[in-house]
Amino acid sequence: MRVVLTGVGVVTPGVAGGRVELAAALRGHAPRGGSRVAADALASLIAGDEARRLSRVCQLAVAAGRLALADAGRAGADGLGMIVGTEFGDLASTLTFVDGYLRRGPQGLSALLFPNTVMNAMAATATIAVGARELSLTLNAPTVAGDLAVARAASLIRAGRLEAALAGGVDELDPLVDEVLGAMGAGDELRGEGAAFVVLEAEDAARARGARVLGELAGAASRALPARVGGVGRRATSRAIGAALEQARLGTGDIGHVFTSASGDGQRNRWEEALLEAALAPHRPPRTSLATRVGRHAGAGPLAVAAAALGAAASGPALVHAVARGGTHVAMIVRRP
Amino acid sequence: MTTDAFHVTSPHPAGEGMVRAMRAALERGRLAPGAVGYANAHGTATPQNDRIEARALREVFGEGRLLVSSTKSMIGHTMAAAGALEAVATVQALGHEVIPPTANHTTPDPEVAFDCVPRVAREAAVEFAISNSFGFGGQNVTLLFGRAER
Repeated sequence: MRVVLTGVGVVTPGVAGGRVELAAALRGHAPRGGSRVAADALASLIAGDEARRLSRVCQLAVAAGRLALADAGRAGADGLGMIVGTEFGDLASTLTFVDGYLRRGPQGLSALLFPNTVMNAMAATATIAVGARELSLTLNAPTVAGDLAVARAASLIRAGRLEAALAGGVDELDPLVDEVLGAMGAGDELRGEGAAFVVLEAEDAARARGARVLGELAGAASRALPARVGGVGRRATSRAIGAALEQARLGTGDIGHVFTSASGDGQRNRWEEALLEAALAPHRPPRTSLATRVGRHAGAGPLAVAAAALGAAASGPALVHAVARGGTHVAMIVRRP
Repeated sequence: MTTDAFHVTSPHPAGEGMVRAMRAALERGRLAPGAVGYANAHGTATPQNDRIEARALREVFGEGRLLVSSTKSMIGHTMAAAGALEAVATVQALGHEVIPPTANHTTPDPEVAFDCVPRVAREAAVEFAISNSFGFGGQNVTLLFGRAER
């Protein structure tokens, strides 16, 4: 079963919209890493009552999810599942929740904040907002959470478990995260925030409803590479790339463009370069990293998938690749319809 | 797996998503409800959740016959690890032919119309068992296990 991409929803600094807005941003003024989504931009997407009930990171997820479904032209949520990647979840609410306890003891614990301390807070609020009832799944991983979510969604559709999926990632900037990552040796990378979701569908179902297909997710695979927790590894053999290519029935020479997860973390960047060199040799297709522009966050991978489908890689099928400190890596093959 | 898409903390009052998850697991396992002898419940001991889970179990498996117990009654709610631990407990129950009890179960809830294996484990040979896990936001997972052939 072929899996196609029929919608894109993005909320990042400077960009809020679907395929048109993202394409315009990629051509010129790309969303910027290191900055936050403007309050008025978010307020224009999430109405007053809803904004009052939802934490900021949940608002980002809900807004981007709705934009993706609107972009896909899906009027209802029948057969729709949701897979969300996030690196840190609703960390801001969790910190406020814990601060309440530290200041006032048990009396300071907020029952209103508690539901947001679980990692699936964004998936829960977004599934309610869009009415997705097939399944709701949250994946946590450094760097590659959003990539994993898209790859998992494709697998579920390909296996016939889902007709359609809203899949992507969301994270928000937080000074504590910067501090901790800096202590781990990843302080030079550009971090960002935002949410990006794609709508994936079984091709037959998409065609039957007259959807405008943006691209095909022809292969997707994730594997683990040996590395200590928070560290980079030495092995440069990628089984994920080979598996994704095999699923797409493509060879290394067919890849016309590579979207990497490089974001300024020197050690991790070099590891990814070594993985790509070894996997694609002797070919060396041009490489782009959106994370160097939008900053690293869980939406960066789904953004790359969308960019590949939108024709940023007109030279042929694109490989969207990401590797995380700790060794999780993901490879996806996107080709134009 | 299913999701209620209903409320951030409360399950759907009819357990609609739970019912769909259990039925989907049975369908994928190509089993009739009558083949399942034991349910390792999500069973958090919160009255609302337990009653709704019981309602959903009754909808799928009928009243009374199924043995139901909660691992959380013995080890507490281990959060993200709970589903995995309870899956292991369910598999062990099948293999050892012993149904784990619901500890501290002294006063039955009339709205939970099942034998909850109160306080003491019970020997019972069961061929198939399910393990339910439900999360905030109405996320519902049912795992279906069968006893390995010997």
